[in-house]
Amino acid sequence: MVIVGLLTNPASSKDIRRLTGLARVIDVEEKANLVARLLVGLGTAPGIRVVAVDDQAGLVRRAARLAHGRAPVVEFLDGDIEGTENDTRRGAAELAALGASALVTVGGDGTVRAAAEGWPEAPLVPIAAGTNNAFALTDEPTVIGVATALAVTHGGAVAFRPTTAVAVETTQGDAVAVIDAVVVTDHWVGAGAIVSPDQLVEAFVTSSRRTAIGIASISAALGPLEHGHARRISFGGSNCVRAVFGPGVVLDVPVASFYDLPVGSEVRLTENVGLVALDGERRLPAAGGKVRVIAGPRVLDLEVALSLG
Amino acid sequence: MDIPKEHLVDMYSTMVRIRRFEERIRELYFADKLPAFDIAAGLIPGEMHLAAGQEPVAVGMRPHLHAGDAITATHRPHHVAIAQGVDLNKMAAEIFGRETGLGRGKGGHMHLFSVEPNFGCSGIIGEGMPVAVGAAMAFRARGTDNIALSYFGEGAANQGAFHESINLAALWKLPVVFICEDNAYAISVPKASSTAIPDNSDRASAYGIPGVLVSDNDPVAVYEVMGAAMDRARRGDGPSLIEI
Repeated sequence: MVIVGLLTNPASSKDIRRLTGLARVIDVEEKANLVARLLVGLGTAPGIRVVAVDDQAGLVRRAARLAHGRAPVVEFLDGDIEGTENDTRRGAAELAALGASALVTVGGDGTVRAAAEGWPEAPLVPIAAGTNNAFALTDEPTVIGVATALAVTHGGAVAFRPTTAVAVETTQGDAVAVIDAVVVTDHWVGAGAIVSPDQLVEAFVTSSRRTAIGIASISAALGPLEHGHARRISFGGSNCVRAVFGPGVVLDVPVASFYDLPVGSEVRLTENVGLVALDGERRLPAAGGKVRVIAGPRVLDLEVALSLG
Repeated sequence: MDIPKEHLVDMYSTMVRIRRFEERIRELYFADKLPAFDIAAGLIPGEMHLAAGQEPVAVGMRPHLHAGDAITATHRPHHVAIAQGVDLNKMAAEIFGRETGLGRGKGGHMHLFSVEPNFGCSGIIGEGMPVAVGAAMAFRARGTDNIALSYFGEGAANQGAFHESINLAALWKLPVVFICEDNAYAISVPKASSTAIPDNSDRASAYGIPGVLVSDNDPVAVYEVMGAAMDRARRGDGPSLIEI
């Protein structure tokens, strides 16, 4: 039997950006439906165990009921649920220890980030249920489930492609970002999200995918980014790039300069004021901080996985 | 977002004021009722519902208020009334059933009504929601930029008045912000035993309005979300549903 781990975030896609842009709520029922479709896809191959972290919303249990009879039985890890990202982080680490062959996340970029912190080399299958979804797969979850089933039953390390991440070290804690670490002028975590380019000081971005939104969209406007690199962007000045800052939000963002850093690079943050936002959420004080460009988690390549069948 | 220091100081001092008020009311409420609890005895006969711990939900909207905005609240109202600036002496007198109280002592702690600022609350679950919608209609008719805030609990979210109020506010795009204070219990009934879905903010989409979940009891998070919701209402973009 091979294990597929499952981490879900019932609270993703419900924050202030429903008010500051055109982002929509992805409610618990919708997420349960996404998971149910994933489970049906996983059920297309024999010998798969699904082990999940339980959640306070009963999301996974709802999904298991929906998919009953067409999917593997879902087992749950022991342990108390806090209802915070610690559940994701702890769950990822436990699933790594269990030897899971794939780690499915259902949530936003922050959910992926927490999973990567718990299991840095995780073979990720990130299903998009967040606001920007710059990292996650936005394809039909049933297809993602079929692809995952093929990848884990055909010994498909080849089906997971490498990514780049950034490790942030500050005097008040360390963290990992899978898409971007951004120094902002805010001094309070508050509602978390970055809603205006006025808040931006500098960013370290691992993606330049032209179809991504958020900070990655700014990077994309500056040109391609070589694999194994992160881009350091300094904001300000009079030259602007047009970026899709969020769902329904297109803005001109002032960019002063940028350059690309290979894996292994380590730099200090420019200004020790404000906070560092990780994958779109304000998190740690920037004081005394530094950033290292590191190898990130691996991500399922759908086309490669589906060709294994 | 830059938060003015005076807003932060004001929110903090208001939270402290709320907490001290609630702690003192608690001391006085129980003083003559124990050892065998006699609800009719003592300085404050009747029920008491205190909001210590729920301070952030109330103070986060305070810096965004305009004079004339209307607020309705629940049977657990003190923190919201204090945050809006209801006269503390008259409010305390009303809680003690005194002639000098907001309602001449006839309403008690669950029925606090103030004209200036415009505040009302009730022990009837969900009562304040249609009242807030009515206030919003009045503001629209008068052409002011005032808005209404409707505080209610997660138990009230299963009342018909919840659905009727949000539907009408959405249909007519009224300037009202609906705020659900989720303290997980409706008297003694846990939310999971009464509500078909885990998050009441999800219900916003049923009425075509934005819903936001503030998962931390954090005053700055509430400040940011309430600011965005109240600005949206004042701009004429309609109601929203915030769950805290």
